[in-house]
Amino acid sequence: MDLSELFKSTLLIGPEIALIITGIIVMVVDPLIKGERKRNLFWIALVGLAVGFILNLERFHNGTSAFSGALSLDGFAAYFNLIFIIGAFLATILSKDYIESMNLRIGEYYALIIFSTSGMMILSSAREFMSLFLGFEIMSVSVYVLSGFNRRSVRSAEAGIKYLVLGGFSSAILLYGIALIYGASGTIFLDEIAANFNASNPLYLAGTALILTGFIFKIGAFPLHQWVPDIYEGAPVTVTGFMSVGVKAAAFAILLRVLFEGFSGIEANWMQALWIVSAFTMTIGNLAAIVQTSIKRMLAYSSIAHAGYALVGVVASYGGKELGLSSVMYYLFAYMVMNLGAFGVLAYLSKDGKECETFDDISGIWRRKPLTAIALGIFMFSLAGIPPTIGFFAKYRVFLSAVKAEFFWLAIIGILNSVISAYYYLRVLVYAYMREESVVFPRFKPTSVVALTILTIGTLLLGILPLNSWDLAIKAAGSFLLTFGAK
Amino acid sequence: MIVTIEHYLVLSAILFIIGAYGVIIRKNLVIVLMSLELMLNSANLAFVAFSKALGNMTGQVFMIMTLTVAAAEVAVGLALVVAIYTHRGTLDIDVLKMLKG
Amino acid sequence: MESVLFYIFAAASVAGALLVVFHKNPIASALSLVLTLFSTAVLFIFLLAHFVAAIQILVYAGAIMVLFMFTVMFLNIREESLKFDAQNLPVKLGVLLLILFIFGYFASIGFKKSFSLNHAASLPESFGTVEGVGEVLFKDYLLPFELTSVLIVVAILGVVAIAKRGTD
Repeated sequence: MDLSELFKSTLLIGPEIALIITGIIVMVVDPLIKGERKRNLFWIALVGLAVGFILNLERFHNGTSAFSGALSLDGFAAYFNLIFIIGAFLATILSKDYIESMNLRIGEYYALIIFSTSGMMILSSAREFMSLFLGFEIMSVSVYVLSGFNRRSVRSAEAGIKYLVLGGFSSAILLYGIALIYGASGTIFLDEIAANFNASNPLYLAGTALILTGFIFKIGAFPLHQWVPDIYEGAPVTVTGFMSVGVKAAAFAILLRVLFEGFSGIEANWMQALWIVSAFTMTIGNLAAIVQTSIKRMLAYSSIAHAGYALVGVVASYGGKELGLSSVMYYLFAYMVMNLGAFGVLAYLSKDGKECETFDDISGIWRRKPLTAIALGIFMFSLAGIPPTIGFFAKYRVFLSAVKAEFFWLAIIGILNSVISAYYYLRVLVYAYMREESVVFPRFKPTSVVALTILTIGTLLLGILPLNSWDLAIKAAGSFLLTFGAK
Repeated sequence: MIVTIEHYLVLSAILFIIGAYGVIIRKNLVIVLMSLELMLNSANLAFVAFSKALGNMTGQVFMIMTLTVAAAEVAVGLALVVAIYTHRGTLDIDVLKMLKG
Repeated sequence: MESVLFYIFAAASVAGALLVVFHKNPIASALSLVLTLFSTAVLFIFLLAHFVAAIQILVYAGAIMVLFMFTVMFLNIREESLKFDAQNLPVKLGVLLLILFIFGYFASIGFKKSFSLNHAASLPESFGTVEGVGEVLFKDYLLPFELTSVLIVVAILGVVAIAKRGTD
């Protein structure tokens, strides 16, 4: 790679660079200012994310690749980047009141959210295993720290170390898988791996299995889902919201890219594996969510179940079907909106160092805070997949794509699971609307309300009129298939 | 008996399994982190062995990247270990058993 | 000659790894890890990866292990680790050896079947030297190299965020 090409590539990864620079600015400015003024770092973070968002839009129009094919800057990556940046943006707004009331370190918090987002963006466009692995680690290490961010809470520190140990375990498995694939094919670029693929070579099979294991861990799908509830429960609630949408979407992005571009040679094998994983993930997540007594834990199990629904879409894109791919992408977008909203309500109801976790903490909010109760109701309806919300349309598309790809049983399992899930989501509303209040609710917090309003309107409006969010997903899926010339 | 690349690969697989086993059975967090290092190190050995077999140096470069990743994970992990120790006065945490799942 | 040395260092690395996992004392575990990492570095030299071998000793067996030793000494966790998780060690060791035996058997078959390794007879002149690795690193994999700097920034930031005391 000569200098002019290097220069061109560097310009092309503008969104990533914008975020990394913002993170560094936040990090450097943080120790220079004192006390109350640190709150202004919030604005730097938002501006940086907004710049990243705008620069990223360019990629929808003309996808290219940079760094001699190491990054594919196509519509697929742009769509996922949209999910990450909007998620990080709204999570930042939701976090402002929360981290101030919990007295957490402001500068490091925002910087880590931004760095983690930049790692996800690298991940969504990586077509080469070295960049992929580093993007994976940038994202993961930031999130490990964020999970253990509340130093006054031993549960938070424990969540951090648990996530680090188990995440490190899964990265080591992923790394070994990459080593085997490298040994078998002699390259770490996905397109060359696909070209050299030889299904009769056991190294390929073993490598694919190990890499898949690493991704399934990050997605939080069966059989590697057990870490999810503990870590989601222990981590600060805004961090849980951020990682349940961001990390999951990033893991799906890279799962799709690696499987479809690199390992399409043994498509039938991993498709069957994912079919089973998806069915078990949905069922186990939903059944375990029913018996939970903590809302945070219930939402953690529900996020396992939602990973299962999204995997239905992955299975349905078997053979490079555009409908299946775009349904996964749309599902992750919808999940970002509604799940961030649900965790945002919990963050909104947390006060003075105590998080809103149990059902008692939300009992009777309808009497005191009717608007919050309405927002909570809309998010729960959406998570349960009840029309007219974005959750319904996303689920509908995933199951439709499964039916069209003739995975009838998977669609039936998914629909049955959605019916079961309605029970525990609506139970939250029973507490919120029909019980007496048992705790004092915090006062009005203007910043969080802005984010919650955006999320509520988004959940409803995109449910009624999908606008062009769905077209964008189809276009992005199309550009992804174009990248590696699938049918 | 001539040493072939397969010998190195089997050795790396053995080290990987020992490391994974250590993560699973040990409760002491520092030793769990050391076992993670063993796993990463075994992947490095596989990379370098493949690099020799294939005659390209990508594997060696990957090993340098893994080294950085290992350092970053260990630094963060040990910071968390110290944080937990100041809270609980012990590192007696069974990471896997604490999952009530 | 090479095969004798290979078996010596391979045995040393496996012994070190077993001691890391099965020794009660974290300090002994840390020193055993140094043994494993050092033996691996020697194996890297057999694999003609001289630069990487040097890095392995400098960074891994040097810097990272100092971090481990420091934490072990700082927390002085020696006594309590003797109390817990030292039960049934022989049984656990037996289980591990069984797994290793079965897995090693299949791994050796798998690697043999996979492809005829050692096929790159002609290695480039600069194979494994600073020059050769540097050229690949800075020409083909410049982006990952730059990304490691972001990763290190994240790690530093994370350590500061977790470990810094005092007012927020």
